[in-house]
Amino acid sequence: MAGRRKVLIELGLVVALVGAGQLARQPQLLVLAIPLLVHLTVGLIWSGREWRPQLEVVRRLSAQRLLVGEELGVEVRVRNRGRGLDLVVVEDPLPAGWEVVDGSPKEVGRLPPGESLFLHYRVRPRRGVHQLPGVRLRLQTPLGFTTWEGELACPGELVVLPRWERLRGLSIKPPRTLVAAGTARANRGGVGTEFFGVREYLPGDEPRRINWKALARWDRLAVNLYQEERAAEVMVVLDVRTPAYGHEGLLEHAVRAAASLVHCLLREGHRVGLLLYGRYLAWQLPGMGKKQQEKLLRLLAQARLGITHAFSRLHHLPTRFFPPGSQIALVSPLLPGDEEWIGHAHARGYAVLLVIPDPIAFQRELLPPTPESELAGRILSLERRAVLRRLVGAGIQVVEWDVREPLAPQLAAALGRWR
Amino acid sequence: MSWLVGLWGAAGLVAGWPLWQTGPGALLILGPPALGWISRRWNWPQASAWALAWTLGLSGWAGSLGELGPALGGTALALVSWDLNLVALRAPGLRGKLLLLQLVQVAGVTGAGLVLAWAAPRLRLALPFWGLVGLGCLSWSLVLALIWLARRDQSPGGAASGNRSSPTPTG
Repeated sequence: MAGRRKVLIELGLVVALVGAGQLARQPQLLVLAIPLLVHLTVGLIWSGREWRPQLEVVRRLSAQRLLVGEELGVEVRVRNRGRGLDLVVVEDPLPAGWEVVDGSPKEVGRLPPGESLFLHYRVRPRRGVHQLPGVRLRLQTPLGFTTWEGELACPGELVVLPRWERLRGLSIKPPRTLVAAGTARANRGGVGTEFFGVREYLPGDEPRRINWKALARWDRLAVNLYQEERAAEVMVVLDVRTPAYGHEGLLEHAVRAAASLVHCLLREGHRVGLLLYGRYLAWQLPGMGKKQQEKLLRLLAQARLGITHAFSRLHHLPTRFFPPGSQIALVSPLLPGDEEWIGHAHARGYAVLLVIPDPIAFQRELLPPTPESELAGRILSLERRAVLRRLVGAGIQVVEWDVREPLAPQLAAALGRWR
Repeated sequence: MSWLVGLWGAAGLVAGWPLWQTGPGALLILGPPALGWISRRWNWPQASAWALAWTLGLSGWAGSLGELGPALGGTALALVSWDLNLVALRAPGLRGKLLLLQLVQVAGVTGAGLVLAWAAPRLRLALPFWGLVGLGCLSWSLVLALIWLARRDQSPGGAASGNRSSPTPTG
């Protein structure tokens, strides 16, 4: 109850007692009004004439950039630069989903002039780019006839990036490659590790590349050619359509997979971009280097589930984001009908790597193990397997990821079969 | 929460003590603790204002029956309960030293009011008519001043500085 209302209520009760005493000719009622009147008068004297809280709020964070699962230490200091405050309630409102690990984001105390009140706590924030809200304060003077309730702005940003796994053995083979060296196998002979072919010896060729068996067979000098390894342009597409997931927990795994792909591909020297497809389109065009990695991880940190009619199917994925002949790495649990677009993209000359966080295995963990759920899971698995078999037959690299296990070994095993 | 309901109960019991023999009328003393409980349970300060008014009503009734002691005691306890109830709603985590300080403050002020109320009927003053009119005008000007004070601007005037986190990238 605001202080002003408290004054009016007490004043009203005093007037009522005095009025009733006068009307009923009962002096005892007038006497009863005296403690109330004293309470009111002393309270108003304490509340002062020109009361304005002069407060300074500073929030300190132990870090501005974290990875999911890491803890953040927060210190909030509220300093009183004005007159003494009898009761101060300080509350640092936490964004939804943050878990308090130690301490409390709320404190009650007194604030004599010049003194400070501190909040110390540790939280485990969730993934995202968080704009921190202001610090909430509730104050009152003695007896509470003057109160103030509000928020003092304390702007700050905290970035909580998704975690990634160190992937190995991720081999991509897009139709077009860049001039720079990388790990994507180009369709041309040159310097590399994988055998590509043989050509006739030309003056200047390195003697160690001479194919002696060919010399023995054809009696002519020939040299080995190796598949040239070059950098490529890769667009990682993260599907954030709500119906594809069913449960928000699965999105966290998909984000982790996308972050792992981004990290691995950039480390191997490719130009990597990112597209979030769902409620909205958010993208970062291909680039390379540490700055690009930071931009992509930041974009992934902001990935949220959603849906609009325009992006309900993969068919509306804007291909202008994908350079012709480039590699597309799609991370999606897939919806029925999505395989058509994937087939079309492959037919149009894109190399497609499909990473599927398995929604059936994920949902099975959440559901009670009844015969009905088991049967439903098996039917869905069979349907999905039939779709994936068609995609594999069309030449698309498919990695079906059981999210209960790490991605790296499953990816290495699935892509190993492609070599 | 239970101690506050107990305090409201004590206020109702003391103020409604003379009603104890009136049979069903005694049930009225349950009003303040019930309203106090509602106020705390649903975080509803208006209910505590009703509890205060209810207790003052009981005190007024007791006073009109000539039982000034229970009436004043009930009023004092109601004021203490009302203040602590509002403090508890404003700062739910309040306990220990800070709560004791609030109790001492409100008990001190209410005690002073009780002393004045006890002394007032024993005062014998002879006032001329115009003196009485002047006292009336003074009282009303005091009331108007109180209203003006209560309605004055209460803007925050606070200053806040930004986040001064140290940039310590991890991962």
